[in-house]
Amino acid sequence: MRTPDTLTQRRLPARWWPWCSTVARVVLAGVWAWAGVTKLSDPDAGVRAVRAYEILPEALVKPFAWGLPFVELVLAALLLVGLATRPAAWASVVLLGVFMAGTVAAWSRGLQIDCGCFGGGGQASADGVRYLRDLGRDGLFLTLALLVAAGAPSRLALDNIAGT
Amino acid sequence: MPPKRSPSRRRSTAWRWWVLIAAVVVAVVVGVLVQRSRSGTEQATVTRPASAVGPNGGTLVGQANAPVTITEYGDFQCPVCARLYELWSPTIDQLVQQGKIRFEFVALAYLDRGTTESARSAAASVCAADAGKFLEYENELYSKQSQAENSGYLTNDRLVAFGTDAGITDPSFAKCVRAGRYDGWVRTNTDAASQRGVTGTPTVFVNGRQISNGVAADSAQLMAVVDQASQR
Repeated sequence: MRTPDTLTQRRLPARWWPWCSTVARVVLAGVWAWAGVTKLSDPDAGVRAVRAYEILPEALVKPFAWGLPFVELVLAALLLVGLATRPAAWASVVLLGVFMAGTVAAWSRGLQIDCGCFGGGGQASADGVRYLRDLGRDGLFLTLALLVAAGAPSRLALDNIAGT
Repeated sequence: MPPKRSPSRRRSTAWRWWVLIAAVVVAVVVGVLVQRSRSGTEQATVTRPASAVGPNGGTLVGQANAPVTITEYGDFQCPVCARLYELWSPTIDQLVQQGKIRFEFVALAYLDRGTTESARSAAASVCAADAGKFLEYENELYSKQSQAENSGYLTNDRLVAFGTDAGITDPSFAKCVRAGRYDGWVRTNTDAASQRGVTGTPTVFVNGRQISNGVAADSAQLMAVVDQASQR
C-alpha cells in the first residue's frame, strides 16, 4: 500500500487519509452521475457532440456517444458504494485524461465547439478561456480520482466488507 | 500503516478489476441498445418533400438554374440565425429576384435537448414550403422567436397559427405539421449536416465553400462573394 508517508506525518494525521478518500470518492461519484444523466436525454445531440471533435472515425462515433453516459453512471455507482474502488478510480483517471486530450486536440486545431461535458455540445462559441476552464475543471476531478486510486483505502466502502 | 501483503493476498484483489471490466462492457452494450432505440435519427421514417429540394436536402428558393447556390444551415430556435435573417434577407431576396442565386435553407434540429421544438419547427417549415410559402413562414418563425430555447413555446398549435399568419390557406398544412410528416426528413438532414462538419447554426456555404457569418450579414461583402463565385 502506497500511503503518502511524508505527507501524512507532516500535515495530516494518518487516520484522516481514508476519510479524505471517502469524500473524494463521493464527490467524484456525483460528478460522473451528473455527467451521465445530462448526456442521456438526447442521443442524437450526443452523437453530434462526439463528431464535432473530429477525432473518432464515423464507425466509432455512435458506440462512444451512446456508451459513454452509461459508463459514467457505472463509475458513479461503483465509486458511491465503494465497490472495485481503486479500479473505478483508475478508470476515472483514464477517462478524464481522454477528455482533456480531446479538449486540447480541439483547441489546438482551432475548432469552435462546446465540450458537451454535461450534455449538449457541438454548438460553436468556444474560445481559449472556455477551453482553459474545461481543462482546469477536469484537472481538479483528475486530482480527486488520483487521490482515490493511489491514496489510502476508503472508509465506508463495500470493498472493506467483500474482502481486501 | 497496513501490513506488508503476501503474494496470495495481493492476487485476491484482482476480482475488483474484473468487476470494473464487466461493468464497463455491460454499460457500453446497454448504452448502445438503449440510446439507439431512443434516437430520433435511427427511428426516423423519411418522407421526401413535394416542394423543391436543394443539394443538401434543404428547401430551395429561386430558379433552379441560378449560377450560385447559397446554403444556410439554420435552426428556428437559434437567436443568431434570427439576427442573420433580419440582416441578410433583403439582400438574399434581391439576389434571388435577379436570378443570381438560388437559396437553400436546411432546417436543422441542433438546439433540441431531449425536446422537439427545433425538429418540429423545421419540419413545419417544409410543410410551408409544400404550400408555397416557405419565406413567409421563415419570417414568422424568426420574427416571433421566443427569448428562451426549449421553453415549450413552439407548440404544434403555434406552428399551425404561424402558417395562417403567413397566408397559408391549404388545410393540409395543419395536418402536415401535426402529423410531423417531415420529422424524419429533418433528422436525416441534421445528421448529414453534422457529418459534413457543421457544428453550429447558422453556417453558410456559397457554392459549397463556407463563408463567415460576418461576411454573410454584410450586404456588400455577400454580393462580392456571390459575384466571385459566379465567375469561377
